[in-house]
Amino acid sequence: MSTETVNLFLAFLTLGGVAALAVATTAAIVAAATGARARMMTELGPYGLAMAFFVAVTAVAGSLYYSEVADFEPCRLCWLQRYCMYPAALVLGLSFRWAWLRFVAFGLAVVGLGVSIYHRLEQQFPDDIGGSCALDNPCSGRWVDTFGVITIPTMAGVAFALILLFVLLAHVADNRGDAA
Amino acid sequence: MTQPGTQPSNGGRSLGPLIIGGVVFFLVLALVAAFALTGGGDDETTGSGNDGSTSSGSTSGGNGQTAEVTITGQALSPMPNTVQVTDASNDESVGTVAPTLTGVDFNGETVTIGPGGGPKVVMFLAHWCPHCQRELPVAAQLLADGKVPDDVEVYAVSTAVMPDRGNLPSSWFADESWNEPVLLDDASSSALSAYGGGGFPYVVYLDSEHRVLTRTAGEFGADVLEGLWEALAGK
Repeated sequence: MSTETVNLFLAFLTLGGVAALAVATTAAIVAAATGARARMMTELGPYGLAMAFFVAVTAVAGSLYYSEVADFEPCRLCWLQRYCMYPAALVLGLSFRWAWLRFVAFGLAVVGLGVSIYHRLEQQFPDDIGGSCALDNPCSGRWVDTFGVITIPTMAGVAFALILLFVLLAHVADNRGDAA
Repeated sequence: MTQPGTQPSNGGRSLGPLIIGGVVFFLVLALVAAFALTGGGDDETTGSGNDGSTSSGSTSGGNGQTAEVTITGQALSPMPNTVQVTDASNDESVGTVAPTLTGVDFNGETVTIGPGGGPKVVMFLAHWCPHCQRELPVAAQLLADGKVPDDVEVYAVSTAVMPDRGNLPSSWFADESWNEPVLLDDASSSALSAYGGGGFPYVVYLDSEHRVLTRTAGEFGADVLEGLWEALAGK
């Protein structure tokens, strides 16, 4: 499988993630207005952790593919996002056994999302006039640029946002279950 | 804690299998689409653009984005990767004769950057560098507006090519309406090394005898570029 194929596959997943985030946001607004929240939480909540774990594992796999197979050298900001995503995947796996660990994953995803947004902005708006690109590996460089917008930090940012969404969903659903 | 797969308490039909099925369907669809749209084959080139070709005297490669370059003469001293405009006080290469570069452009036409003709601007640009992506259209507009002295020749060298990073040089220069000669560096960026390349964009200003007048590393914008180009007139 070529790197171009993987880029496109992961770009499609990213677009799917964006669509999921948009649908979830819309659904939350509609649910709040119509009182359908209880059913949505009951239906989706039990799968929240599993979906968050799946997203994290997919992100880790993509990250390892790019560095170990495609030989894309991670930049400094890429490493910071890795420091958040890799433990988040592990913690989410363990949170099936120890539910409180979901809060650790949530925290890691918040930090990771912040770094992803900063990294993406660095790519979109590099230093003003007077900046330069290093010969080696600038954070503003783009190893992947699918559809002119989906770069590696874009993918990571969507993954972190999805993890936040799914962990939140699982937590709210559990709270409702406990209250009942 | 609610367990995955638990039936909803409100007696409605569970969405769980639907969600799982939808995710799996989407994954398969994305994979099939990615294969269909790209051919799915193994990479011809991967990683840092090292596609098997070497420096001057080697075969060409990089999907037509790099090519053999012949370098004649003494290499310039390496320039540090900091934004700067050099002069004789801080650049030992000022006053020395730059190497002659002979290679081809995207159409396979021979391009030579060497002694003879007028003063020269030699711009080393990397297609993946956002600063180069902003500087190239600025330079192209200055040229289109006639802001370069008549005797000054402007060359671009497409270097540090990494095909996996997108924005391929051949389409990039065409998209930016760059009408001046473009020399393709080889996969090892030999031309850049011979000219002592610093941070991108990297520009070497040469007099008519091919001696270095000044070098710049970094993005400077229209005003600085125009000033440097005007200063070359009659050199």
